[in-house]
Amino acid sequence: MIKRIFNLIAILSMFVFSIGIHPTCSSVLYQQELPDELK
Amino acid sequence: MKLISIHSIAVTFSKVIARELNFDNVKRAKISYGLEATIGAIIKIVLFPVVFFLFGVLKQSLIALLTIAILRYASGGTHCKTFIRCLFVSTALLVSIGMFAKALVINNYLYYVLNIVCFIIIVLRSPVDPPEKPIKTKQKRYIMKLLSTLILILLIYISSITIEIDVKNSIILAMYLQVLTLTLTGWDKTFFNFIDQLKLKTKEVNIE
Repeated sequence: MIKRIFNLIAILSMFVFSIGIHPTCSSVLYQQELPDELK
Repeated sequence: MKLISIHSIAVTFSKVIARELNFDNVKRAKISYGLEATIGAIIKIVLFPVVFFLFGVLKQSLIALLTIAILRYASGGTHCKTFIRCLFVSTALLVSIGMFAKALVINNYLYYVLNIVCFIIIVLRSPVDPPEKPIKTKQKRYIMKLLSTLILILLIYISSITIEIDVKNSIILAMYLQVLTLTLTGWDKTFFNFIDQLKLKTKEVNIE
């Protein structure tokens, strides 16, 4: 059960990442830095 | 007072998920980034309407938020360096827009001037990408410029056919504020230094 919840969170986070990685996309005024692994 | 930052929560939680699901470090970093953005968005989604409602500008500020979000997607603009700064500045700006939108009566000539100024700045400056994540190709830059110009024209059209004055004002003021963030690239150094002095920055706690 916990694994399923973690899987769901992982998929959702990946989806948000795929949108948030867009250079101009942001919530309102904040865009966090890319983690070192992805630079 | 020590506050745990959203970043440290996202990193810790992503490590737990990656360990449970046997993910590599790259996937973990993507989950961490996505989680941080999601937690931040949830906080804003909850906080914004409550604050707007308390100030009595729910409709005007939400319209301003929507206008900024749509235009900002294509045009980019200055970013805050921390989430707390963003939360503080965006809430203050959106509430101010809502209040001004209710109180102001914008003259037709001023309305035309603002639209023209917005159009010129968008054409000249858009898209403004953050240094951490630059737009790499010229083609994409051109597409974003075209898209932001089209969105601006659409917003100008919507504001021109809107009968309700407060809604019209919200769109114009939000549009103008968003366009200003394309020009004042040095404003964060002066304005945010002032906010830093208010000791609003979170301190990260090492949970590892």
